[in-house]
Amino acid sequence: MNTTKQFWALFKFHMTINPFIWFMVLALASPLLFTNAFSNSYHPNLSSLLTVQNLFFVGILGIWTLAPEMTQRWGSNTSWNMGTEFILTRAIDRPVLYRSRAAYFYLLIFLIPVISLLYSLQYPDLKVTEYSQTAQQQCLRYVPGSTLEPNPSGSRSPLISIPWGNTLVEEWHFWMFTTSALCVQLLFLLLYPLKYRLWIFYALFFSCIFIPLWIDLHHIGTQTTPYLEHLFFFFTAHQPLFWILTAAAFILTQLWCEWRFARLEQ
Amino acid sequence: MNESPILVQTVSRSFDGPPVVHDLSFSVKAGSIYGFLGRNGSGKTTTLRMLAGLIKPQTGNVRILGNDPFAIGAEERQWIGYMSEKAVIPAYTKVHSVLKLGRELYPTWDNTLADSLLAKYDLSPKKRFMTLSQGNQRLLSFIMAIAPRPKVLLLDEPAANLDVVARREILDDILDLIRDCGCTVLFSTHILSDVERVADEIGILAKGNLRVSETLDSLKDSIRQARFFGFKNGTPTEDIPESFRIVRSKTEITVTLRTNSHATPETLAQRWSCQQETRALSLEDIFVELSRN
Repeated sequence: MNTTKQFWALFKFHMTINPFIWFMVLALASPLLFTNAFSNSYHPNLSSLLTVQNLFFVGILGIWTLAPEMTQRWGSNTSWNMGTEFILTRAIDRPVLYRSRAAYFYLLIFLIPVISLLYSLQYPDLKVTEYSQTAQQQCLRYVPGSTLEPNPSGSRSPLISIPWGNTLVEEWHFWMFTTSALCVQLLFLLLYPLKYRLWIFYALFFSCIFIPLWIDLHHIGTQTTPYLEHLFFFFTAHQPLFWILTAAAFILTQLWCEWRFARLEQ
Repeated sequence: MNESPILVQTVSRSFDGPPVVHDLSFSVKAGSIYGFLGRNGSGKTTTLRMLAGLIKPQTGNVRILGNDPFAIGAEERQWIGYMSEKAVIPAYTKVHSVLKLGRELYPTWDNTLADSLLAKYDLSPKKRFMTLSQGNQRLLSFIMAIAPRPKVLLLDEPAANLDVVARREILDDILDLIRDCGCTVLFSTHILSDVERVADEIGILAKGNLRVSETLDSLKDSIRQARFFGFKNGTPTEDIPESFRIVRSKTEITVTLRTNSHATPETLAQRWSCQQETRALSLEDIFVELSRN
């Protein structure tokens, strides 16, 4: 059977497989909408703007859509999630099954960043406080059109004004979601055959949440530039390169994941 | 059509422990029904999962229609119908969505058959899988396995959780399918009467080893239980390698064995200087004798 027809049949099936996932997407995404799109007139500093608090749901939705069996008890008698055994024993090509699942996963996780990105076009310019002088200099150097302005609140720290800054930040968020999605897929497919896969996944999942937080805490009150800002400035300075590399990583990851999934036992 | 659409050759498989299936070999003739019997944990499901391409054998080969089931794609897989012992259809999916997937994936999908079975089993297309009774969940899984008109049908405990009428209907549908398209069926079950009713050949699996694999008539004809008593020189302690089971007491020995083996009841009675009486066994007796530890 034609792989395109197979893909769409499986994709549509996955869309209806669990209606609660859609509620979860909205529930998990609501803070993202409120903090980033609706209240874009105030941000405590650039670093807080670059941190994506909701990145954890890439991990959660990833495990639900791509590897639900990881959370299932061994020998469990029901398949409440994605029906992998059922679908694998139908007339399908395994790589196409993975491709359709990955497409569903991307649809779920990109829904909100894309809406935020489109919403940011309404209020594209950004003014944000930046305490670190190093970061201020780096911003002026790497972010096109950025300027320093006196802070109207009377604070000693000036405001950084970035034309199209809000859109740039949403683009940055979209990039973070993309790279996280790629990492999550690679992680799942590497861990899948391991006996203690679920424990390793949780350990890594919580480390990914808390280690950046811990690093950020160390930067509070210091004049050093947090690592996310470094990366953001680099991203804005080399956007085409970032997107080309991300697209290449996306294609390679996808091909490897499909190849790997086809060889995994269930 | 291959001579043996289902072929299992010296297959072993373990999961972090002793082998669940050990050195298993059997084949199923084209257009026949093979009943796979065994106690819980005997390795039936593992064998069926290997044949369905969900897991791989650690040693040996499994072949379905001449192909490795783990390596095949949609083209070859459309000829294999599989029904798991578990409720593997996603819980929140509606019956009509499941059937729609079948229609879209299989060029050979028989809509008339699916609809008639749906009506016959009284399954509402609007219901979600999780709201169906366990029996109806099994019936939907069965429809999904046979509506594509497969050449090979693998059924893992198809009649579990079904009432007697539904069980009979499923068996009739399997027979109809074989009549219509010469499908080859391998099914595992605990219900011996089902096997007696439809199976052409029977395999009994115990602790991952295939104890017998032959036709029902041949099995019933060849396996007997012999009781030896009245020993003139005391009860013998020798082992009988070809026997399936030996039970010894102070005055008698009961042996389950093949009548066509070297050690027949008559030769043993002669050797032990005793009397013997032999009785035929029902399939249930044979199953119990062969499956006991």
